[in-house]
This record gives sequence, structure tokens and C-alpha cells, in this order.
Amino acid sequence: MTPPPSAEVPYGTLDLMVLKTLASLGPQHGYGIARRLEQVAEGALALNQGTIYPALLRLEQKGWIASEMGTSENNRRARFYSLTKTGQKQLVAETALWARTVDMMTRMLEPER
Amino acid sequence: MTALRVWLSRLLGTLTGRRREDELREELETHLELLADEHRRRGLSDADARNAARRELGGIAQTREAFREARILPGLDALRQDLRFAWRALRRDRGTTVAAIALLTVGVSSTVVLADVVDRLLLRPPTHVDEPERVRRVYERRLDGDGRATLLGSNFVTIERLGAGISSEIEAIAAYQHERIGSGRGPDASRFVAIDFSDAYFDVLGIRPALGVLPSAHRAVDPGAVVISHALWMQRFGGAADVIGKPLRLGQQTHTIVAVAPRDFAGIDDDPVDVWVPLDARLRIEDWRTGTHYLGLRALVRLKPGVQRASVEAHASEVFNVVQRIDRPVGIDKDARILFGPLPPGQSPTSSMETQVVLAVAVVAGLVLLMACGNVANLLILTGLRRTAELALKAALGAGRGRLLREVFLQAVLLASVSGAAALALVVTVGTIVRRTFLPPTAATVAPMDARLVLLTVAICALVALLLGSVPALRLTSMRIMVPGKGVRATHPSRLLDTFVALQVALAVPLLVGTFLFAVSFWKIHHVDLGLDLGRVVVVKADMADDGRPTEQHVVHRRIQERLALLPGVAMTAVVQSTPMHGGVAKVFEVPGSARPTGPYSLPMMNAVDASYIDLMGMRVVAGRGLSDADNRAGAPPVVVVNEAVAKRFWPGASPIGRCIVIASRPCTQVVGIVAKASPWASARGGPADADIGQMLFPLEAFLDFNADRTVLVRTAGDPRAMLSRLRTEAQTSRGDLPYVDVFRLDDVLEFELKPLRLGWAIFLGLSALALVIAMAGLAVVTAHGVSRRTREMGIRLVLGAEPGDLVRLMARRTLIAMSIGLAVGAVLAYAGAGLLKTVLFGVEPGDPRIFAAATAVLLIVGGVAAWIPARRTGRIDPSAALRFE
Repeated sequence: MTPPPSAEVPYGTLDLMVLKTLASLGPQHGYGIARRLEQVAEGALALNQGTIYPALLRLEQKGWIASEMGTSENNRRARFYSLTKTGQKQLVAETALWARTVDMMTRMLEPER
Repeated sequence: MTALRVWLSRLLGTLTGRRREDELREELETHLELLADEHRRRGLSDADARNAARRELGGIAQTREAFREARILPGLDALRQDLRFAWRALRRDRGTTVAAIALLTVGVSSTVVLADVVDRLLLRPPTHVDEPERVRRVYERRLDGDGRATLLGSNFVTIERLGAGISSEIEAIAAYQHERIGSGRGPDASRFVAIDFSDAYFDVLGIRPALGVLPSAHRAVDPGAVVISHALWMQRFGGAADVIGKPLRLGQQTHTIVAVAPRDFAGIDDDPVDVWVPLDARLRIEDWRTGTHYLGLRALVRLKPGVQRASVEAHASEVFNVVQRIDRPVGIDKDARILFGPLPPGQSPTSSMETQVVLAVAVVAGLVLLMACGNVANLLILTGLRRTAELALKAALGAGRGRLLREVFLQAVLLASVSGAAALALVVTVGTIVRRTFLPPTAATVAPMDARLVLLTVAICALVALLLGSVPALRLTSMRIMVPGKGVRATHPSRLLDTFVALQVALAVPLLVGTFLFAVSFWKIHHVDLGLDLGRVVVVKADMADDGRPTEQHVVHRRIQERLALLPGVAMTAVVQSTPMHGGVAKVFEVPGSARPTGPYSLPMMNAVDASYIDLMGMRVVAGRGLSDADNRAGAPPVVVVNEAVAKRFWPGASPIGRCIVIASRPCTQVVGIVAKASPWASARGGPADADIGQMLFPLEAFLDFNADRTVLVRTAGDPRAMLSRLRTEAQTSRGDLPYVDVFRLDDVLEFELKPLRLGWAIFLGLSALALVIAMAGLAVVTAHGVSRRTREMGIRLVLGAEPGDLVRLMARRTLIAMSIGLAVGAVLAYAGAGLLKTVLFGVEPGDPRIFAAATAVLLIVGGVAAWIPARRTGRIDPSAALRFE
């Protein structure tokens, strides 16, 4: 069986995915976040892992995540990102929004009876 | 909120350099390593693992670019780049840049300093006054007079009734007067500058005290109260918080301190005030509240909000004229118009000469700034010419015209900012000196550097940047950009350069004309023959009357005189009754066989003086003799010395020597001498008053007491300024119990007439010197540029047999023609401007052709030299080198 074709990251969803990752795993470096995204997507996502860095910076500028330099498991310097209070609120809000969007889209696309 | 946050962190990102990007590199490396490790664990070879990791991470360069774009504000970053370019360009032409900055700094700082002076003198109301535009000084303009307004001098009743009459338009009216009050006796005696106020004074001003409670018409004002200045609080009481309720001795009375005025509030007039005292305590006239004969009070009003000044003035004039007919003594009840002038003293309806000079000087400083700008624009055009190739290359590489324009403007902005910063430093240091000389002490001392000054500098710099940027920018837009490598083809801007040369010369003419006008006025006013020589006369005076011992006046001043006569450096001393130039006594007397003359100034002023007085004052005896010591003894036969005005008026066509006057029941007081001119109210400008006012001098010891006042006069051998404090100490300690002894130079009374001229002269001279240097530099630079541009042509001319001298003339000629045009234009400008100084100048017509000739000659000589020096190089051109010259 051929794996399903991997999709581009839908616009605007990367932020939500990153927030969710940090919420469930706690502080992570870029590699950790990227890995987690790939695991969850089970190969359904064609993520160019470098793109998460500008995304992380944007989230940080918005104040949703914070970061500090630290040491990774292979003893190299890396930046660790964590969710802020505002970020947690934002995650709740965005999750709800996402659920509503998906719900709406599902109804929209349901075969007509 | 979030948007603002993002913008701010991006702004921070733009400004704070690249650490974050270096850290990103580390992050990416770590990421790569971790990915590769993962692949190795899955069994890939080392090389394959690395390749796979790289593939998954994606292009590192793109990631970093995307990261950078997210990190910064793109527009700001481009601006930063352009600024760096502009800065580099300026650094490359270091000589030009330094010259440009120096020129601009001088121009900007002189303009800022003088604009600041205008601001402080004319525009800025005293600090701490609440809604100062509603507070007005009351002036009167007598309809029968010369049309000039004067500060209202009136009695309390009139001021009160005036206030009551217009009570629907004003919130309050207050009366006040100036005074100097001695305090204490002996060596520690001091003196305060005081305002004596009526109850509503502080209500009108609306200031808040630093400490205590200010007197107000809403409460009963205790005559024993005193308000002290912040400065006095600091000096005398060390800023102690418990100063309220403490005693302060003023004259013979002990006052109680009720409030401290706010910091930096030194009153609303020129002299910084030390104390404010209720009028009740100071006016020694019993009925000052109801009487009409004391006319020394000034008035201030606070208008109600929204009241139109013109309508309240009309109403006030009406009321005033009605009130005056009731209250004022007979004979001076001519109608008057009441004016409500603004608080800043320089804006008064009695617009002083100083104000005119200051305005003229400020305009002129603007001219110097314009000249500096013109010169710098020249420099920029010339450096721009050298950069045509660079511009072409940039254009060829795709830089749009807008980008090139921006770079040119940024250069101008950079130049203006650096010069502005330098100018600000100069303004603080040099400006303080200028302010001290120009401004009254109250305005000069307050906050030498404030937001207003900085704003002013920034505004002027912005203007300069705009001027500077637009010239090369205009040229840039008119350039045609040709095929790369062939350069930018632009017409040579020689006409533009010539225009700037003409402009600079034109602007320099009014400056030079002004300088000459002031110099001549100053010289002439110092050589007016007043029949007096006041330069080295010092007044020494102890006010025993204010100290409650009027009968001791004579003894005390004799004692002081004896003491001072012993001091080295004192040439002469005399005791007199009335301080010369400070008022005096005029009494009716009879001249047997002559009718009493009538008309203005008909009564001569009388003074009783020691015999040495005539020499001490520098008077010239033109007939008969002066007073002698023999005259100046009790019981000596009564004699009098008169001035020419008295002789002419009472003995027209005859000699008064040996004739009699009858005064104060003495049968005959013999006229023994005539002195030239010597008006008792000398004005530095001479004038009709000087010619008309009579003066009669009686020997002090032999004659009558007109009043009990006494003053000691001292003539010093050298500069009196160096001796003032020595004289004061000696006089003060000549007895142990003296009140504060006042010491000042007699010609201080002429100072208000001399100061505007002296200031005008000094500042015009300084600015003209600057202008000459700037114009010279401009001429020299343009000529030098012409010489180097035409070196090749000159070489050919030499080869073809031209004389070197002809070539020098040829090169200088162009500059000189431009200059001549500038001179003509400048002369017209100067002629138009000089008329404004007419009332300030003395003994010289603003349009005097000789002045214009002199100014033109100076400029021609200076300009000729400036053009000739670089042109000389033409004559030394080596033809063979010139032909190889590119």
C-alpha cells in the first residue's frame, strides 16, 4: 500500500500545532518540536523542518511563547521554547476556533441526502 | 495589542544587531546534528545520515533569510543601510564634510542663540504665572502727548475705581511699585529688591507658592507679612522648611515670612525680586489708600476668560477718564487711552529700542545661516560632481532615482544633525554669555537649556536639511543617465554656483551696512558734548531717611566722604544734596528786573553741592568762576553757578555774572559763573531736553537745605568698575551703624540709551566677521573649482601665447562679476532693511551713501582677495603638465 501523499502544512495551522506541542510536551528545542510534528502526522506532512524557526520567532514576538538558550541532549547549545500564559489562552481559543471550522467544513462537505 | 507588541519587538530586532541570528546558526547546527544522529541510529552511514538530515531541514540560507525577515522592520533596515552609505560618502570627502559641518554649526548656533533671545525677550511670559495671556499690564497713552504709551503711574484710588468700573470684564486688579529696601545696619547690612503690592497682586498673577500661603484679597492681608523669593530662601535660610513665621527685617520694620515664591519666579520685570511686601507697610504716606497726590503705583489686571482686549480697553479708557476728573490734581486731567499690554516686557506698547535691535539681529542671524547653507550647498554640488561616475554606476545597477534622492537627502540630514548637535553644545556655552548681555536678569537666569531651545534647534536643523538636500536633489533629477560606463551626463552647474556666490555676497551687504551704521552711531553718541564727563563718577548713598534717622544724613555722608577721600585711586569727592540725574528740587525764585519765564521746563533744577562738584562732574566753566571752598562755608556771601540754559532764559542777550537772584528770603544771591550745557537730566542722545533744562548750583554748607537728602560723589582715577566693591566696603564701615550703603556708577543712568547701540554694534560686528569669512570661503572654493576644471584650457592658452597675468584675471573675472551682481542686490536689501533701525541709530542716516560705499569697498577687497588667491594658480600652470591633465 502506498502511503497517502504528504500534504503541505495548511496555512495558519503550524502555529496551532507548535502551541499544542509545547502544551503537551513542555519546553522543547526546535528539533524536538519538529520531531513531534512528524510523529503526530505519521508521514502525512511534508514539513521543511527549517520553516519552524521563523514561525517560532513570530510566536515569540506575539508573546505566546518564550525562549532561552540551553544545552541539548547531545551537549550542544540550543534554544528551548515554552508556552507562556498568553500562549495557553491563545491555544484554548484557537483550538475552539479550529473545532468550529472543522465542524463547519465537515457539514459542508457531507454528501447531500 | 499583539500587533503593537510584534512591531516593538521587530523594532528592537532591527536596532539590536545580530546576536539572535548567530544563535539561530547554533540552533540549526544542533538541529542538523540531532537529525543526523537519528538517521545513524536507523542504520545509515555517516555521510548518508548527514545528507538526509540536510534534506529534511531544508535550505539553511533560506531559513536564515526567512528568519531575518521576520525579525526586523524591513523599511527601517533599508534606511539604516542608506544612512550607512550616506555616512561613508561624507567620510570619503572628509575635508568638505568638516568644512560643511563647521559652517552649519556656526550658522545654526548663532541663529538658535539669537532666536532664543527673541523668544525669551518677546514671547515667553514669566514662569509660574497661571494663564499668563489673561494677565495684562496697564498702560496709558495721553491724548495730548507725543502718542507714546507709558506704564500707568497713578494713585491707589484711581486704580481701585478703574477696577470697579470694569469689574464685569476683569477678575481682579492690583497695584504695585518697585523699591529697593535696606535691611539691618553695620557691616552685615543688605539690600533687597522689593515689590510693594496691594492685596489682589497674587490673585492677579495666579502663582502657587513653594511654601506657605500667599496673601490674597479674599483674606485680610497683614501689613507685617512678607513673601520671599525662592533664591532668598535658599541663601538666607538654607531652604529650611520652618521658614514660615520667621522674622525678616526690612528698613525699620520687622516682617513675618508668610510664603516662599515658587522656584524660578523672579517677578514679572527685569530685576529679580527678593521680597514682596504689602504696600501698607511701605508707603509712608498716611492716606495712600484714599489720597490722590502719590502717583507712583503701577497696575496689573487679570481679564476674565473670553474677554476681548479691545473692548475692555475701550471701556477702561472711558472709566479712567471719568475717574481722573474726580481724583487727579487739577492740570493733568487730559484724557488718556488705557491699554492692556501683555506680560512679556519686550512686547510692551512702549516697544523699546532694545527690542528693535534684538529683532534686527535675529533677522541678520538668519541671513548668516542662509549664507552658510548656500556655501554648504556649493560644497555638496562640487563633491556631487566628483561623484557622477559613482551615481551612474549605482543607477546602472538598478538603483532607482528615488533611492539616489534618498541618499542625497540623508547626507543633508546627517550634516544637519551633526551640526545641530554641535550647535546645541555651543548654544549652551556661548549662548549663556549672549543671554547675559542681551536679556534682563530675570529672563537670562531661568533654565539656560530647555525643551523649547532643543525644539528650536531641531526645527532649524530640519529647515537646513531641507534646503541643503533640495539643491543637489534638484540637480540629480535633472541628470540624464546615459549608457553605463559613459557616466552621467549633466550640464555643468557653473551658473548655479555663480548664483550662490552672488547670493552670499548679497546677504553679506546688509550685515556690513548694519555694522557700520551701529559703529558710527556708537562713536557719535560717545562724542556728544553733554558738558559732563560721567564715565568715572560713582554715587555712594546711605538712605538714613528710610532708616528713620533723616537728621543724620549730612553727618553720615560727610563722614563717608572723608573716609573715601583717603582711598588710593580716588581722585575727587563731593557731598551733594540731590543725586545728579536722579531728580531734585525746583523752587520759585525772582530775578530782579526780569519777568518770570513761562512754558515747559521754566523752573531750573537746583542742587546744593560742594565746591569740588563742578570739576568732579567734568563741567566746563565758560564765564566767571566755579564755586570755591570760601563760598562753601556757613556765613559766606551767597553765590550761585548756573548753566547756559538758565543764563539764556533769564538774562537773554546779557551776561548774568554779578547779577542777583532772590530766593528764600535772601536779598541777593550773586551769579558768579556759567557752566556749558550740563543738563540736570542728561540724556546720552542730547536732544531738546538737554538744551533747555536749567541747572543752578549753590554751595552746600553756605546755603539752604532744599531737603535733607545727601549723596557722596566720587571721581576715580582709573576704571571705577574695579573700585566699586572697595568703595562700598569702606563707605559701609565708615561708621558702625549705617544702613545698607548703595554704590553705583553715575553713567548707569545713560546705560539704557547706550546699551542697544553697544549690543547692536557688538553682535553685528561678530556676525559680519562670520559672514565675511563664509563669503570668502565660498568665493575661494568656487574660483578654485573653476581653475582646476579649466586647467587644460589654460594650458592651451599658455601654449598659444597668453600671458599668465591675463589668465589670472580671466579666472578671477567670472567670480568678480557674480560678486558685483550680489553687491547690487545686497545694497537694495540693506537699504530696505536699514530703515527699520532708524529710531535706534544716532547721528547717522540709515541710507547714508558713504556707509554703503564703505560696505561695498570692504566686500570688494575681501572678495577680490578670495578670488585672486586660487586664481593665481592659473598663472603658475605648467603647459605640458596641463595638457596631460585630466
